[in-house]
Amino acid sequence: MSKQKLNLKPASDTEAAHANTFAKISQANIKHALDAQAEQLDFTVLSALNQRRQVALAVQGSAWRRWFGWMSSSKFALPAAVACGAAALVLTMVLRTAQPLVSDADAAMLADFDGTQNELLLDSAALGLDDDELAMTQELEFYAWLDQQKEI
Amino acid sequence: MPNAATSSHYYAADMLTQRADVDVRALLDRFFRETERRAFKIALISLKNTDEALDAVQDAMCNFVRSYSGKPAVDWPKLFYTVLDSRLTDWHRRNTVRRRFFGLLPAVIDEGADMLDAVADVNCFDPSVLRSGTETGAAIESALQKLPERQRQAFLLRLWEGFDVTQTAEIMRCSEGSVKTHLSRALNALRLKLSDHYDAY
Repeated sequence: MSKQKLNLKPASDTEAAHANTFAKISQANIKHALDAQAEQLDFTVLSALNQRRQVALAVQGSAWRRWFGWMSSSKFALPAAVACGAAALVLTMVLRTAQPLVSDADAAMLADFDGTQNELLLDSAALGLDDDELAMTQELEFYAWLDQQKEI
Repeated sequence: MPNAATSSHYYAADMLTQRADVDVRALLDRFFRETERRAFKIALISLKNTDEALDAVQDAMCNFVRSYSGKPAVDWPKLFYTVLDSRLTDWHRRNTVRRRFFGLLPAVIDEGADMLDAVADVNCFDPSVLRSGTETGAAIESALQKLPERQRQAFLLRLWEGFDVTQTAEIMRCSEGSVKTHLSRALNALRLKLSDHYDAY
């Protein structure tokens, strides 16, 4: 209905101009009109926008720019890099020495074993020997000597 | 006034020629200067309150600086309007919840206030508004305020800021088909509203 009314012959030149304005809602018209609205903002609004822009830029200045600015200055860059490297080295050494893999009691028990005993333990475990059989395997030299005496 | 699309080309060229020690703060300042007026108008049309719109723009600026100022400047317009769109959407969601909650409570009536001031004027267009191009913008702005939020955002991002359909979809976090649908409905609604206004005149 409204479009039909728009197509009616305008009663005056002014109405004709209005009809053209609203019958041709093109992108250019809209963009131009809204741009004009944005250009005519009130002074108080512009002032407020300026203040809020400065707040946002201060956020930028207080965050990474301040950090990188400090880091990039020649006065502090080298000491900071040296300090970071030293801290990383100390941390690595502390982590490697702070937590032993076995307790003190386990370490003492392990110290009592020599290589042969460790091998025997491993062999007995693999063969499924009990404690008596394990004792025999630990005195193989004695049984070999005993066999030689029997042969003589 | 350059829109977002032309600004993209501008900053792309700027990024190619910049030195390693470029001052990001100066770039940000220039970007915000070119963007803030349109961003404020978009927020004002959406929120219908000057202070709320200013707060929304400031929040968008701060969040953009915190999260995206390290991104290439060519992407700044799209990212900034993504942040702003998110901020406006959040405001409308919170407002909806607030209205549901406080709608259960009895309204406080100010005896000294004129009740007619709170009534929306369906024929809000003043015929004298039509007598210049600038005032046509006011009429369009008034009509835009009556659109649904998503239709309004699609309309402003596509036709005012100059983003293409893909960029608009990324900003609004929806599909390209949704953008086209929102835009089509917005255009139809605007034609109807503005034509109705002409008929009334």
